[in-house]
Amino acid sequence: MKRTPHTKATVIIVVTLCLQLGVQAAKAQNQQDQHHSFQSRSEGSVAGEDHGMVGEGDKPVAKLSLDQFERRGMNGAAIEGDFSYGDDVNKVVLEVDFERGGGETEKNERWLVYSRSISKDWNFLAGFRHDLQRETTSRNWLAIGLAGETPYSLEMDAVLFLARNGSTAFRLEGEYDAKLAEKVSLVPRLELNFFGQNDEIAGSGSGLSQIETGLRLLYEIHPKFSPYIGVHHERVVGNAADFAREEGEKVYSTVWVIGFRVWF
Amino acid sequence: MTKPPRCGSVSRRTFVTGIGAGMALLGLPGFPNPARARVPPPTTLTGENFSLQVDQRAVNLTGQPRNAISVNGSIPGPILHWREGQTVTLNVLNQLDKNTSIHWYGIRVPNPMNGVPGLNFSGIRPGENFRYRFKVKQSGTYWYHSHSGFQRQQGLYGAIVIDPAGGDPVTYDRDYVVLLSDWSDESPQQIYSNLKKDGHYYNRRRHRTTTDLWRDVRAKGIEQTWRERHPWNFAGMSDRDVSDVTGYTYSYLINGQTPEDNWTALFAPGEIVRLRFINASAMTIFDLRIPDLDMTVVSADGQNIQPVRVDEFRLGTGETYDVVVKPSGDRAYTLFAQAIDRGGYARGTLTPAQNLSAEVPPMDPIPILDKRDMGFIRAGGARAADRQPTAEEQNAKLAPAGLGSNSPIVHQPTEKGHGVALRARAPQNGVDDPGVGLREHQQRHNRRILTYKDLRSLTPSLDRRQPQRELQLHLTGNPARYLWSIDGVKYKNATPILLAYGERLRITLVNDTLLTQPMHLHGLWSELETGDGEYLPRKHTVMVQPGAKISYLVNADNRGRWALHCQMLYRTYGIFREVRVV
Repeated sequence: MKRTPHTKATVIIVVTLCLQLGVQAAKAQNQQDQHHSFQSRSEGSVAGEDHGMVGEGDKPVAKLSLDQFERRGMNGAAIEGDFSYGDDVNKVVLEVDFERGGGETEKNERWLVYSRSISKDWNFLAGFRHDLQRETTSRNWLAIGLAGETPYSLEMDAVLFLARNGSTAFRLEGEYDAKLAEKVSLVPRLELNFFGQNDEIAGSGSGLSQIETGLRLLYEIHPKFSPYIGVHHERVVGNAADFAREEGEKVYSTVWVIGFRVWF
Repeated sequence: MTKPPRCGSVSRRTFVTGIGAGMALLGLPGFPNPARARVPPPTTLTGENFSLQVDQRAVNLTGQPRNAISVNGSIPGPILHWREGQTVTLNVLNQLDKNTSIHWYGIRVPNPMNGVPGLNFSGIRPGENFRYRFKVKQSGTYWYHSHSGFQRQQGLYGAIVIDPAGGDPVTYDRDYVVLLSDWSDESPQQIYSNLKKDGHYYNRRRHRTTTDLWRDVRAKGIEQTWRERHPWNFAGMSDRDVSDVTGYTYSYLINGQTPEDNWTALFAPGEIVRLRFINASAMTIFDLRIPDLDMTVVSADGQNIQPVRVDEFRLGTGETYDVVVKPSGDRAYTLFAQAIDRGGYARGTLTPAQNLSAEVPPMDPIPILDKRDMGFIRAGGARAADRQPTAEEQNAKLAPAGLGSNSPIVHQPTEKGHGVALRARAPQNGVDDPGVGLREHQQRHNRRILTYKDLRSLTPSLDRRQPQRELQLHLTGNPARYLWSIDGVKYKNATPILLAYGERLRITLVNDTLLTQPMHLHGLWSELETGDGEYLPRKHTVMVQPGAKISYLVNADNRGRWALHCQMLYRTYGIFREVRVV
C-alpha cells in the first residue's frame, strides 16, 4: 500500500495520541500509587464545585490486561492483551494479538480502537488494526465491532475488518468462564476467522477459513493473576485447507499450553 | 443516672491469656504479628468548645503498617458529648496536606455548618482552621465524618452523644458507644480502582460453581434448577451479590478494635447497659446480635422509639440504634456484628470481669437473593411503567401520611443504556422486610428480627399534614461496570431537587439494584412511613431493600443546599442529589 501524505499525517496523529495517552496513564497510575502514603502530594481540587467525592469517583481509569500469555507446544507462543484508558463511556484501547506456531509467526497484530459503552453489557469498537506479519492480503485494516457479554455470561467479540484494497475479514471470539470452585475455572474458548476473499499467500480462504479452540484450566492465585494449563487446537477449513494441502502443510494442530492471565 | 459514655479497654495480655486457646479452637485467624499496635480508644470530650485536629497517623491493624486519618490522634475520633440546647463551637484544624471537612451526621444544623464541600463551604484547606458553631436542638446518638474524598474509609469518623434537655425516657446504669467501621490495608483509591476495572472484584464468592449446580440438579431436578437459575443467568447476575466490598479486603472494627483485639465493655451484676450502635463504615451493612441476651431497641437514628424487644437487627451504613440490655451478672456476652455478606465480623465483649469472654458464634449462611430482590414478583398485577404517568394517575390522590406510596412506579427514559443493569418491575414496600439473609432467621433460629415496621416514635408525630406531593427517585446502577446513579443520571450530570420552604412532601425511593442502599438525607428529617401515621419514626438514613421501594415524609423546614445520597462510600459519587430548600 502506497503511503500518501494523508496516511502519513494519520500515522503521526495516532502515534502522538498513543504517546499522550501513555503519559496520562502513567500519571494516573502514579497518583494512585502515591495515595498509599499521604505525605506525597496534596490535592487542591477536592473542594469546589463537587461535594468532595465526585472528583474521586470520576477519574479516568487505566487498565492493562493480558488475557493470554502462554507457551504453545514446543515452538509456539501467544500473547493477547490490551491497555485501555478512559472514562465510564469512552475509552481508547491499544491491543496486541500475537501468535506463533510451528516455527512461524501466524498473527502479529496491533490495534488502536475507540470503545464506547452502548449497553449494560456491550461496547462498540471502531479503529485500526495493523499487522506486522508480512504474509497477508493487507497490513492495515479498519476494524468495527462489538465486544461484550451475552445472556448466560458468554464473553464475545465480533469484529469486521475492511482493508483499502477491498479485502474483508470477520472474527468472532467467544469465551466462557465455568467456575469449578471458588478459585478454579475451566475456560473454553472459540475463535472463528472468516474472509471475504481467497489469499493464497496468507493461507486464508473465502468464507470460514480458520478455527481456533482452546480449553484452559485456571487457578486464581490472586484476583489479578491466574496461571493456567490447557490445550489449543487450530485448523484451517474450506479453501484455506486446500491451500495448506497444496503447500504440504498440516491442516490442523493440537498443542498443550501453559501460561498466565494477569491484569492491573 | 446518665454517665458519660466510655470505651472500655482491656490489656492485650489479658485477652491473650483469657481466650487464646478458645480462639485457636474456633479457627479464627492466627494471632496478629507482634508488631501490631492497638490504636488508642477514643476519649470523650464534653463542654461547649471543642478542638479537633485532623491528622494522619500510623496504624497497624492487621500486621501491615499503614497510614490512617485520625481526629486528635485516635480512630475513631473522640466521642463528642453534648447537651440538647447548648451552643457548641468546634474548631477543626486540618493538619493533612489535602482538604478535609467534617459533616455532623444526622444533626440538624444551619446550612453553612453542614460541612459538605461544594454545597455548604469550600472545605478546610491544609493548615487551616474552620470554626463550626451551632445550637444543638436534638438529643440522642449520632456521629460525624469527613465528606472529602475517601477520607471516611481512612478513619475520619467519630461518635456524637447528646443528652436530652429534659429527663431521659430511657433508664440505664452504663452507657457505651459501639461504633462499627471497616478497615482495609488497601488505599481507598486502590479499592475504587479495582471496582472500576472489575465491579465484582471483592465479591469472590459470587459465582455459583459447577459443584453448586450439580447439587441443585440432584436435589431439585433439572427443570426446577433451570427455572430458578434462568433469570439470574440470563441477566448475567449473581444471586449472591449482596455486597460489593467485602471481608476480602476489610477487617471489621468496634471502636477501632479488631475482633482479635476484642473491645470490651464492663458492667456490674444487675446493671442496665445502654449500647449506642453506630455504623460508621464505608461500605458495610452489619447484622447485629448478642447471643443469649435480649435486646430492647429504644432509639433509632438518635430519636426515641417505643421500646422493641429483638434478638437481631440490621444496621445500615450511617444508621444508629440505641439498645438497652440487662445482662445476668455471672457471664460474659459477645457483641457479634456480621457483615451482610458473611465475609467477616466485628466482635466485642460485654462482661462483668475483664478476664471473662464468651464464645464467638459461627457466621450465618451467605444470603441468597431471590426473585423478590430483583423486583420481579408481580403482586396485584401492577407493573412498572416505562412512561410518564397519565394526568389521571398524576392527579390521583396520594396515599395518606404514614401508609407510604401507592403511586405507579415509573421508570424514567434516562433509566436506559449502559449505566442501568436492572429495573424493578414490581417493587414491594420494603418496610416490613427484615432484608436478604435475615428473612428465615425467625423460623430457622427463632430469632426476632427488627424491621422498619417495628419502629414507632415514642411521641406522636408532630406534623399531621398530608404530603402535598410525591417525589419518586430510582436508585440505579450497573455493578459490573461499577456505575451508579439516580434515575440513570449520576450526580455530576443532575440538576438539584428543589423543595419549597415549608412544604411537606413524600419521597419514594425505588431500588433498581440488587444491593441494599442506605440513603441519607442531610439537614431534614426523613419520617419513615411504617404504616402508622400517628407515630412516624424520624430517621436520617433509610435502607432501601433490593428490588423494593420505601417512602418517607419530609418537612422542608431548613433552608439551604442539602444532600440526599447513598451512604456507601464508593457509590456516593453517582447516587447523590443536591436537595435545595428555597
